[in-house]
Amino acid sequence: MIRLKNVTKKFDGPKGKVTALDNVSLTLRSGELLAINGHSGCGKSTLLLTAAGMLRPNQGEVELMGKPGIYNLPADQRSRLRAGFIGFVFQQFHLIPYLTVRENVLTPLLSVSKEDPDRRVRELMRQFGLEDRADHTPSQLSTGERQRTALARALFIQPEIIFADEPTGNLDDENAEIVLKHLRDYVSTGGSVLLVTHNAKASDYATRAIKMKNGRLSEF
Amino acid sequence: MKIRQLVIKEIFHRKFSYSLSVFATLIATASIVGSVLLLRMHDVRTSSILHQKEAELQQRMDKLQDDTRKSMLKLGFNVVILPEDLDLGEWYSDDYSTKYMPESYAERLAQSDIISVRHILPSLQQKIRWPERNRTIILVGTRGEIPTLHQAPKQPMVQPVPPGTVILGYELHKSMNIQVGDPIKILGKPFTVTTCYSERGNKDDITAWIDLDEAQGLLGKQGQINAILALECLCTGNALPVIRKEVATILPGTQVIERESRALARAEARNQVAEEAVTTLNEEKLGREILRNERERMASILVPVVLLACALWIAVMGFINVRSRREEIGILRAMGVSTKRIFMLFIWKHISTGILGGLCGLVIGSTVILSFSTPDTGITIAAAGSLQFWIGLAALAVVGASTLAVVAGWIPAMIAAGQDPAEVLREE
Repeated sequence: MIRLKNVTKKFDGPKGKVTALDNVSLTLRSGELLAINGHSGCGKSTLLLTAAGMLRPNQGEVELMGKPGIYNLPADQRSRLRAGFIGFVFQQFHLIPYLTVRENVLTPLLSVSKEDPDRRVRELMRQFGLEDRADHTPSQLSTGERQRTALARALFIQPEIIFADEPTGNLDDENAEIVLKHLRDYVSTGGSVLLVTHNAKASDYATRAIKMKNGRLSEF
Repeated sequence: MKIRQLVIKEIFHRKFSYSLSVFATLIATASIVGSVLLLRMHDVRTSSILHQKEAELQQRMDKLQDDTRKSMLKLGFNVVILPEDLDLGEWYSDDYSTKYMPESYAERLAQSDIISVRHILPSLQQKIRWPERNRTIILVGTRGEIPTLHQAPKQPMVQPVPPGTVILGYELHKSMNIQVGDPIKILGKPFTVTTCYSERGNKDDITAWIDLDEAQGLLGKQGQINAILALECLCTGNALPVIRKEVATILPGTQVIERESRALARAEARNQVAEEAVTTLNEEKLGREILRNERERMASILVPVVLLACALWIAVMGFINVRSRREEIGILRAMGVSTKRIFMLFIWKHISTGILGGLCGLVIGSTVILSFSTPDTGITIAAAGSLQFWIGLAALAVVGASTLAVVAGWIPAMIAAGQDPAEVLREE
C-alpha cells in the first residue's frame, strides 16, 4: 500500500537545515495498523504527510497505492489519488465549522462521486453514534463527537488507507479508546492505517508499532 | 455536497464580512448607476426644455406669420407684375405703366402651379384727362381676380366691376358731388356709379374703376393690360427673389416689384424675433451641453476613484476570508479537492457578491438619483428611460459589479488555490 525508501526531508530552520526525516524506509501493507510512536517534533507528522503525497522529500522514493515515485506525478494526479483512496484524521479534527455533522461527512463528495451517499452517511452516523448530532455544527459537539465525525468523514469514501495524525491527542481515555477501536475495526475489514501518535496505548491496538526519534525509525 | 452549497453555507456563516463586500460592490455599482442616470436625466431634461422652447418658438412664429399674412391681406396687393421693357422710373413717377402685355398673361399665371403669389388681378390703368369733368383721373380697368386652379379657393380681395358701371374714388365723387346711382360719362361712354369709396389718402381717391373690356375699348388697348396685381403668400420678408424666379419661368418678358414696405418691415421684424429666439435656443443648448460636460468630467474622475477604493476593499475582504479559511482549505486539499475547485469556491462567492451588490446598487443608486431629481425636474422612472434602457442599466450593474468583484477577488482566490496543504496541516 505504502512504501518509503530512504526518504529524507529537511526544513530550513533559524540555525540552518533541520532534518525531519533521516533516510527513512517503511512499508505499510494491506490490513495493517502501523503505529509510529514518538515525542513531539520527532518527525511523525512529516512522515505522514510525505507518505500521503503532500510533502515532497529531499531524497528517496515514495510509492503509494502501487504507484512508485508519486512525486513524479503532477499535483492534480496526486490529489485524485488521495481523493479516491485515502482518508485523513487529525488531532485538531479540521472539521468545517459552518457545516453540520452530516455535511462534514459528505465533504469528500467535493472531489469524488459516490453512489447513494445518503445511505452511506446514515451507516456512518449509526456506526459512530452520531445520529442525534447529524444537524449539529462542530461547535455544538464534544471533542469525542468531533473526532468521531472526522473519522466518519475519513471513512465515507471507504478508503484503502487512513492516515491518522495524533487522532487521540485531544481526547480523554474513553474517547481515545473508541477512536482506536474504530480504527482497528476498519483494519479488520482489509483497510490500512498509518497512525502517528505519542500515545503509548495506541500501540496496543496496532498490528505493528515503530518508534521514531530524531527523524529515524526503529522497530519495537 | 456541491461547491454551490459550500459557498452558500459559508456566506451565511460569515454574514458580516460578506455584507461588507456586498456593501463595497453596492457603493461601486450605485456610483456608476447614479452617474449614468444623472447624465441620462440631464439629457431627458435638456430634451424636454428644448422641446418646450422649440414649441413656444413655433407657436410664436405661427402667430407672427398669421399676423403678417392678415396685415398683408389688409394692405392689399403687394406684388405688381409689369412688362419687362417698362422703365421703373416712369412707373414710380406716373404711377402706371406705359408699356403693355397680353391679358392672357394673367390667365397663364393663374393656371400655372405658382405658389409664391395668389389673388391674381389683371389690370389696365392709365392717367387720363376726363374731358366731361375737365379733371385728370386714373382710369382702371379690371375684370376681377382670376381663380387659381391648383390652390384652395379664397375669398376674392376685390369684386369685379360689372360692365356699364363705375366705382369712384373719394376725391372724385366728393368734389363733384356725385352720388351712387348717378349716370356719368367717361370719354363719351355712359356709366352708372355703383360705389363711392371713402377717403383712402392715396391715388385711389382720384381713381375710377370700370370693367376691363370697356377700359381696353376706351383706351384703344384691346386684349392688353399693363399690370398684374397679386398678393405674395410666402410672407417671409425676402420672398421677392423666389417670386421673381417663379414668375420669370411662367411669364418671360415681365418684371416683378414689391410694394407696401410696412408689410415687409413687419415681416422683417418677425424674422428678427425668430432669429433672436433661435439664438436664445442655441444659447440654452450650449449651456446645457456645458453643464453636461462638467457633470461627465466629474463622473469620469469620481467613478474610477470609487471603483478603485471598492475594489481594494473587496480584495482586502477576500484576503481576510482566505486567511480565516486556511484550515478549511488545507483539509479540503488533503482530501483531494483540486486547486481549480478551491479557486472556484472563492470565485463563486465573489460572483454572488457582485450579483447581489449590483442589484442592490442599481436599486439604491436609481432611488437616490430619482428621489433627488424628480421633485425638481418632474422626471419619473418611466420618463427617465424606456424598458430597454432599464434592462440595459440592470445588465450593466450586475455584469459590471460581478466583474469588479471577480477581478478584485482573483488574487485572493489564486492564493487560496495555491495554498500548500502540508504546510497548513503542519502549522495547525
